[in-house]
Amino acid sequence: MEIQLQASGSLWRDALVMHDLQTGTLFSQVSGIAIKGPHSGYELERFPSFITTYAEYVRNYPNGKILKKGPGERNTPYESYYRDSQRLGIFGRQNQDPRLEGKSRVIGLRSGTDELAVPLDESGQSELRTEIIDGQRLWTYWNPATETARVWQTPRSCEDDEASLDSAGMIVNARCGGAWNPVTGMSRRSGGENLTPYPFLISYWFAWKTFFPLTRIAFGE
Amino acid sequence: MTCWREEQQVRSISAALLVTLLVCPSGQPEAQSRNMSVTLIEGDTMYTLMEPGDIPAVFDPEFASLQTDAGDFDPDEPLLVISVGKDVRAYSTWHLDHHEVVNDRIGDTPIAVTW
Repeated sequence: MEIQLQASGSLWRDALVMHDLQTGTLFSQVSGIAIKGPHSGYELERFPSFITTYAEYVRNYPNGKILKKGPGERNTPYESYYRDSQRLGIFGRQNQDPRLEGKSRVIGLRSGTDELAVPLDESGQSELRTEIIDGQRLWTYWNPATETARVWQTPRSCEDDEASLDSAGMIVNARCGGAWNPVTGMSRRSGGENLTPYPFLISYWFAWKTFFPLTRIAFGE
Repeated sequence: MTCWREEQQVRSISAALLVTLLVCPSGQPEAQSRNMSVTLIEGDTMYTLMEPGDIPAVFDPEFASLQTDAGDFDPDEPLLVISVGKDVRAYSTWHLDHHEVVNDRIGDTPIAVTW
């Protein structure tokens, strides 16, 4: 059975609840789990995606497509909320874990019962980190200048060594000798293996912690 | 695609959940004047401010080529991007803020893009 989703008009844990038009089931946007209705308990499969800016998208994917806008959709209606670092959710939720600022953003990773938040440095340099989630080794990439975040599965041949960004901004790994574009995952070597994306969520810290209270933080603990 | 068995019947919900963020105030100002109902789910309150569909989801997404008629986008405009082989498509998160959900399809796989 194929379903279609829309905004339900409800908020749970300060986050969007999606309504399945075919059965009336309600799904949490953050967890992907059905929280009410005929399919309660089922979890949607997360599909890999990433965030970037329009300029960076054009630079990396000149042949890409973009969803057409309608009239009056040039800006976000939530700009004041995004800019207000003190306002947590529509009803004023408290930050349950002050190790990070409530409105700071994290890369949220999940696998099995393991959950990991990787804080984003909004003003630093591009960074590549190696993280392990549920035994899987991942590379997380964040470029604050272009607001681009990606998470890649580490190629098997590179698993035992740290990767870094070279002077050209490419992901390089000494052990396997690979070099990849951190945004597209394309190998710089002709015929080389491209990187495989790993699904992640960009979330405000207070929201991630609300949904995943046992989450680890990648650093700063 | 997520598939599962239930009561000896194969049933599948084939909407893959794409994405992301973030807990934003989905309740828009006009909703505040309407009646609000509350339901308790797993110990947390679910607030119902509007009816399903009051924020219109996109069901028939139309895409533009970057090389032809992409339209008016700010260089710093944040996008959510999916890339599967040569099929690469982007959704402005400012645009998604007006719809919350875009029902789309990657090959044969139905997906929901939500921000």
